[in-house]
Amino acid sequence: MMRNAPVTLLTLLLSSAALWSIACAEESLEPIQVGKPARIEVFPEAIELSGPRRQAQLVVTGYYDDGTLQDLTRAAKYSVGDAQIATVDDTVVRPHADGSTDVTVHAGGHQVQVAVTVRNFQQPQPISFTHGALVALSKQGCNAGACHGSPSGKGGFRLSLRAFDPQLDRMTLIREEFGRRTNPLDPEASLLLAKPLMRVPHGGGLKLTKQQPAYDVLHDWIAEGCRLDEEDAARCVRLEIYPPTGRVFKRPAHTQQLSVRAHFDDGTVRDVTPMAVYSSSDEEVASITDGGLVVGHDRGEAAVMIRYLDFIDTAYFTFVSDVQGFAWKAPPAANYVDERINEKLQQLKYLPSESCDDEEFVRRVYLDVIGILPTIDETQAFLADKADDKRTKLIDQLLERPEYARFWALKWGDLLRMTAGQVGDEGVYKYHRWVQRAFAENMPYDQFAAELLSASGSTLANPPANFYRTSTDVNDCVETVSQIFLGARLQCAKCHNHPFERWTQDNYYGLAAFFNRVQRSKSQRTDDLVIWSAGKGEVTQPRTGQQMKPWLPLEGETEPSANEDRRKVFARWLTKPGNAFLAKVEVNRIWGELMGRGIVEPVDDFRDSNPPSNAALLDALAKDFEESGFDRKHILRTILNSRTYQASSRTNAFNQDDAKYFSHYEPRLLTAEQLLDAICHLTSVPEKFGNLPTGTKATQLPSPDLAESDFMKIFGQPERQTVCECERSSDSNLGQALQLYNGPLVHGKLRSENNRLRRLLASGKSPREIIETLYLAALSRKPSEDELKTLLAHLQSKPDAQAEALEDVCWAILNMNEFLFQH
Amino acid sequence: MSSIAASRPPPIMKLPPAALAGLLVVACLASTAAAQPTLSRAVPAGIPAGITTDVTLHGAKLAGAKAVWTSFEADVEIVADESEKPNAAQLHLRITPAKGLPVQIGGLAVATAEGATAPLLVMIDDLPSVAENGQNISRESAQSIAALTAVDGVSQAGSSDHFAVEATAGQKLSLEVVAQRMGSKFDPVLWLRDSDGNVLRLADDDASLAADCRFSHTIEKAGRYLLEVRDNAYRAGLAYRLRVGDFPIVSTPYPLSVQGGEKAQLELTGEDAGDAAPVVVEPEQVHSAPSQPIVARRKGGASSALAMVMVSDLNEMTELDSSSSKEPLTPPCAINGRLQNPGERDAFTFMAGKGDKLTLHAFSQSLGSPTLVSFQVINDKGAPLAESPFDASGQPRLTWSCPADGAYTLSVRDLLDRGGPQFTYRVSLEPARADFSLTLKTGTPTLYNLPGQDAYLAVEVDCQRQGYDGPIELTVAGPGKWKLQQETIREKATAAKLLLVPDEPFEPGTLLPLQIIGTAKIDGQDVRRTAGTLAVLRAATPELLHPPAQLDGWLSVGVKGEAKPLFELPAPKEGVRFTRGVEETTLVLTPKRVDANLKTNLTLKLEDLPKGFTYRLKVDGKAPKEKYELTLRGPKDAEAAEHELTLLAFGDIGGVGQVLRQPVMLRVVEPKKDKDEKEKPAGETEPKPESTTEPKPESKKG
Repeated sequence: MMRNAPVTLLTLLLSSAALWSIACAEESLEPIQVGKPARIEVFPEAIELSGPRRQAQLVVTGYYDDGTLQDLTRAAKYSVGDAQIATVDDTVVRPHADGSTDVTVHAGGHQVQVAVTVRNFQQPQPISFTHGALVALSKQGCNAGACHGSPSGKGGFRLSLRAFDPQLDRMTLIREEFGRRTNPLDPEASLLLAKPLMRVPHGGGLKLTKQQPAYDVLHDWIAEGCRLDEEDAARCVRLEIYPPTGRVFKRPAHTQQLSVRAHFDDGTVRDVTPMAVYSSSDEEVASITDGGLVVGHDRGEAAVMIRYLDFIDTAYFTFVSDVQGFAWKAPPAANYVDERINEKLQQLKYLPSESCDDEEFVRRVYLDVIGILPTIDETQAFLADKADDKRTKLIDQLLERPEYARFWALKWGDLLRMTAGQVGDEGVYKYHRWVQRAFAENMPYDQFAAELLSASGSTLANPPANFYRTSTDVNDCVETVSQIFLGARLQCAKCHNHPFERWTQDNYYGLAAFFNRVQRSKSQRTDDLVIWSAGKGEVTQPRTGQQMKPWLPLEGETEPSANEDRRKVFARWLTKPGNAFLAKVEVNRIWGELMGRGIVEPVDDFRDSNPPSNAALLDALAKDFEESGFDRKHILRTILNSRTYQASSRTNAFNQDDAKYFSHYEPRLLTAEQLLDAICHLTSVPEKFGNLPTGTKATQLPSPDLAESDFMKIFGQPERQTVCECERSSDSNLGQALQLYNGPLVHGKLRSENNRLRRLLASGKSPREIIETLYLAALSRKPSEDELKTLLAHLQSKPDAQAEALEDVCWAILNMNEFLFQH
Repeated sequence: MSSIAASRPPPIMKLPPAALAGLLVVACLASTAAAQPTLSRAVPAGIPAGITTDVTLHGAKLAGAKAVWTSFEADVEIVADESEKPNAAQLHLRITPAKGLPVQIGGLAVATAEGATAPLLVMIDDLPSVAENGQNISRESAQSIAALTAVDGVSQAGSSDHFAVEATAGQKLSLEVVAQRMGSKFDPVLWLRDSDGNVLRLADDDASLAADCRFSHTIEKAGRYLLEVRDNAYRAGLAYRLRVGDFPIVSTPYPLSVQGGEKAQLELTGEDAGDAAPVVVEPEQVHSAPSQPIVARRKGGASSALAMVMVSDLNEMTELDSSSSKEPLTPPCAINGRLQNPGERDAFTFMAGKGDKLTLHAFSQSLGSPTLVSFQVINDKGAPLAESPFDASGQPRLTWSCPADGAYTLSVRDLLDRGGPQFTYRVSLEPARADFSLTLKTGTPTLYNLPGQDAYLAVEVDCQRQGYDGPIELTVAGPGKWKLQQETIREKATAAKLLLVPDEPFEPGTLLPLQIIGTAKIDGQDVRRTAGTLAVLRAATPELLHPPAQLDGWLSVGVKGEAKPLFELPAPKEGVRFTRGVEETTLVLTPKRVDANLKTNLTLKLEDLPKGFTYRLKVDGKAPKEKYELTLRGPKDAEAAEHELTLLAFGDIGGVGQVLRQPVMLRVVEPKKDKDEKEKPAGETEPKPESTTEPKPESKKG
């Protein structure tokens, strides 16, 4: 007994903790202020319960005269005409005998009757393996990726991830371990129950209580002999979520009970609200309980993902509240970007920042459009210009500069994994030139995508063919294409259905059927491949053994003609008018480059459970992009001319909490290449990169491996090994601090005999003039009087070592956040 | 066609046109490479036909040049360097190519007493040449050139070369960079800009030419136009030739091939060949090379493009012939076609009988076409029976066995489904026969600089057998008398190392073009094949995708002065004692390597054996620590006598070897008379560990 005591105690403690956490959400709820709704609605309007295990979640909505609405489910009172037939138990209707009755719902002075019909109550209703046991295991998280759903399982027990492979689960649950996992003679003794209940030690801790619906399901399924489903058993075909997506709640309204109903192919509908799995895209904005109650916590938007087996649906909710002292005020909208942004900000009660000043703007727009700082002459010319449209003119000028194409080729070089190591020493220059030329000539983006996707021939003679050189096999192709052009990370669907998205394993291999015929053969030339498409070759789904037909998202299977290069079919689909992916993903990427954060963030992770922070804006940009003929410069121009882009990075009292809705410009660390160029610019000491011409900037390098730079590596220059935007690190680290503090690069440039400060000194400029010049070069502004005073004092303290003192000044400037950050 | 000139008095040698093939790319021996002359570039790199032009060759160890060879017909004079300190890094020539030569790329090599150079590829060009001035590293400092000019330039690190040309409105400017086609590593990128710097055209790799590039551009507004050319990867010191003229942008003629002895009119095809004048050719019936250059000009034009036509023995058909007559093709023949539109598939019918074996071979890129040919053989029900394999050169070959009598379709397409007037191709259909082919082993040299004395060549040959497994006799064709060792490729063997020993020494400064010929009797017919060298040339110069086909099969042998010995092989001074009645005696020889680069075994031979004597050779251990056991076998009743044998030892590095000849005395002795010496056998190991003779007891095996 004594030996068991610690385990028992631990079990007890863990059980208590788990139960507390389960109950916690309910207990912390604020009471509903029902007020006086103009009317109420109850869902469902009528209830049919067929069998003793069926039930129905009621959802009551109050509509108010001011146009708002509120979920009144928790506050409503329920009465049943004949409690022998059915009862309402905590907002859920449960059957007791065959017959008909009514449920009357009372709320806010209104009442609504819901007809209830119960049938087949006396008929046995065995628990389904798929729609009972597997659903219960999913609900409790047993088959999650971190638990038994991991590829190797846990503790010798492996389930398919989120029950995507019932065949495997059947073997595991019933046959493995000599059947010890389930014991129909004594269900309580089954490991399947004893472990999550912590009756026996369980590495995953307490995962189940007897009070939870999943317990009864699993217990009964075992007790009924662990029966499998008949071949012709009804199959789920879709989910129905109530309320529909898009509800906006204004405080005090802040909760919403969901109803989740599964529709089956035999025409039946089952309420699966307690058994569905829920998650929120933003727990700070809204969380959701196991029972499907959404609870808003803060202003903002959240997507609630609802999963039942491999069916996934998403509902978006917006939570707003009055902010004391808030009065809407915004600079006039320059274009639809501002209109959509302002609508969102106004709804969420965020006040946009004022416009940035000209000094901020000129530095910002140079860095964003061409990657480098403006020269002193350029800054002064812009600041001296009194024209109202000088910002617009500058934007136009920058978009026509050759540096624009070079800088944006760098960004796409990251995505396309453009390195000498991957496409060859000759090929990397040619590939880079092709991308650079596409930007310089403003190649329409649909053409750009199509040329990459359907490229054939020599990778040297036809550089976009390198797309299939860096994507070395069919899996790589699927994952690269989907991440770059569909904004979807499909890697996990290779082995199992995507856990957070609608993508299935079948979808993955259906997409693979477009790319599996791509051949990569050595050509006669050194370091060259010929990319071509074979006339035959099919993809087999590894789990099902099924030969897959090419499959297109939102369209389904397709049958390309025998002689057609399937990649061209895919490219045609992707670039056809109205495609749901191409335009959105690219405008979001461009937005992210300019604003530091995508409307969907991360920019290459589009999914229902990761909604855009401003869907209307994303739609408008995508529409404009497509209507412009996929003109990237047009979209850049539109965003750059918006007040939103030109907003100050200084926050106000009403937007300082916003990091998502673009109420102010978000400062961000310069990229590694920008920072190196900026240091070279400030010191006037250029870097030499390998064979490249003198004067080549870091932001113009075809590839990081053509001229390795420790400095840039430390500041997050990616090695271009993946197509993920995330490979470029923007995190700060100690190495960066040391580089700036006394790293060899900074030190060398400050000490250079031919640097800017020494040339200024030699030319006889006064200390004030030199400091002003350094400030203009680094920050596109003159120093403030305080700054000037401090720096002049430092120079005066070293009358015999002016160069050294100026090195100190320069060093101090390049360690300022204002220098290091894009703001 | 080839020409020779020399500083007076010139050595007169007539070489066959392909004599320089072997010189193209390969430096001879690693151990002696530094001692031989080399060439790096010619200024100018283009020489007009029929006009005497002063050409300076740059290189090393060119002093005392004795002869110059060209692969094209030309008069060449070496201009003597009469300065006090002759510059061995330069050689001045006066070259007059034969009048009427079409624009082409040819070879030029120099021989000195230290050997021959690898050839430098030069151009016969109808555009006048100017040299790049070296100062033109920006648009502002662009070098002005005329509109009909070729510039010989060298890339500079991290910069482009800039040129400016005046052009009139409506003028069509043709621009071309010839670099990798001349063996340079320069991978050109070429921009045409207006005077404001706006890019009008950018040319990089060309579908027909690979790395070299070209285009034509019609000038809208008279004025100054800027050209920028650089190496793709900014490498320095690489030569290029920028041609600015009015030549057509031509890929191939159409048809691509003509039958030897037949007159034919060719249409020129290409990106901008629309107004090019048709070309009439009438190649010789017995053609010395599989292709020859043709004149490719616009009507009234002043400059020509590089183009060539294939010459064959087959009945050459065109797509039009076939489709208009709708008669099936009758192999052996060749069909010339073109894929006018993207995705086009050309179909040709041919008859074949059950069991017939046909070889189908496509030609395209080696003749300048961009087509990557892919073809299928399809039966009358539309089912594909055979498909050409992927071929890196776009010229696949397929041998197909016919399953039943009937009509079949040859379906031809571009592997990438491209199309256009320049997408020409040729497919030959010939009955497959038992045959073989020979190629020089990959990695072996085609240029050999042979010391004048005690030297030999070691040529390694690979054999590709197609249904013939019998022996193949190797011979050598070319000037001089040679004694061959190991001259047979044994049954079923697929490789051989042929040793060529000169019968008499050659004069230093001589150049000897040689071919290795294999002969065999197959099905009662004498079959003769020349060992091909194109694959070796390609491997040694990867930039040069299509070495001139007429140079295939030639090895070039330069002759230099004496060379240092590679090895020694001490033999017993007292000779070999053979005791009558014993039947066998063994001579153990231990070589000593003088040149550490000699890392392979020696080849040993014993000659002048008396009647009834034989020997066998056994190698003990691995080079360079091996020993050779020469076991001499003779009749029991051999008469006591002394015989002077000749021991030959061959050791080579990189295909050039040393022959060591030494006499070895064979002493046949009576057992009784040799009693004292038995106690101290001749050549005992102690004093001379390198070589021993060991009398062996009578062989029990007989």
